[in-house]
Amino acid sequence: MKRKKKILLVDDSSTALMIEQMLLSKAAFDIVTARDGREAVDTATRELPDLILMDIVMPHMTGLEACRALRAQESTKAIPIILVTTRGENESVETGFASGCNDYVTKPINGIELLTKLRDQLGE
Amino acid sequence: MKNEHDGLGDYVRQVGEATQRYAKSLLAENEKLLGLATTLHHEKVRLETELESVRGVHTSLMEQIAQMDASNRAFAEQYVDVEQQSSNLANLYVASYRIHGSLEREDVLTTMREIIINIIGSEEFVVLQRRGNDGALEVATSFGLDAARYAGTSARAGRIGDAMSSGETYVASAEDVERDAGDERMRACVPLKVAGSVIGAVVIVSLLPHKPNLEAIDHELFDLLATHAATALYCSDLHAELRQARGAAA
Repeated sequence: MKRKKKILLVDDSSTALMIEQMLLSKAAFDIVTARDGREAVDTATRELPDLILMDIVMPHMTGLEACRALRAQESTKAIPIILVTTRGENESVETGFASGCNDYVTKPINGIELLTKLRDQLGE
Repeated sequence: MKNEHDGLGDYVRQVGEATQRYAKSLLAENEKLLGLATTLHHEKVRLETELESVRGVHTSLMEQIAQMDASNRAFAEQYVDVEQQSSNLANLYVASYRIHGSLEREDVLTTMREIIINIIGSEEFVVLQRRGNDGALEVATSFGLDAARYAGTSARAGRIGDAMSSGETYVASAEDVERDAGDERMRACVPLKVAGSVIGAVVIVSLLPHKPNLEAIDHELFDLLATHAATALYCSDLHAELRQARGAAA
């Protein structure tokens, strides 16, 4: 039987996390969550998810900082990271890519766009 | 002399016989060629008929491919529609679920902020609430702007006052967005209603840069904020009063 892919969702907003969970629930993924960048690095190191979907603006450690920390660790450096940003301007996007993210989606999240990018990164 | 004549006669006879043989062979060759030409003609006619038939099959296949392409496009469009509706329903469900998830005023306001940022996609907004009877509004929460600018906003004047008096959500037209400035600059003003009374308003001042316009789902979210968020906010205030009264009694 094919193993379910594990996705780590990271957002300090309960509403955003719940929406992402709802959008991904029909695609049969195993979901784990974290509430800030620091927790994201810990959870990713422990759970080794197949992909991380992470907000940028968060307390304690931002998504960009967490992205750089994950890329610096041997065990997590290859995990695809999709950043969730409220701003789609080139500057924000470039900063995201410079931090090591593989792709980005903008808020409000479009379900089809999210699933397409997610499957693309998972090679499905 | 006779011998010479005989020799010439033999030669002529031989030439005549050779010519006859050649003529016969030419005739036979001609017969064969005629037969071949007839066969080729029949073959040509057969191939032309076959080609016509193949062309017919090709045309029919091309039509079937075009029909399948059209069906595929229609299915793809339907899939996108269904996914969009599913996504919209998920957003509405989450908004509704979260807004009634707590009786604490701060939690309700946090949820309202999260809905307006994450689902509607606003980068500047303010939630105003009527507190006293003087018609002045207090800022309950805000995001991305100077909240002090809205403190004491009148519930009876201006665009906010109009929306609160009528109880109808104001949505700015493209012309309004171009023209309006100052406190009148907004994308929408949603009156918060509890049992027919307007207790405040959500003023969406601007949307995120990559979201140029409000969509159908946003209008549904405005309806949800107008009733469910208003009720949740009202209940959280009652809950706080009750707790305070209980604390005082104890």
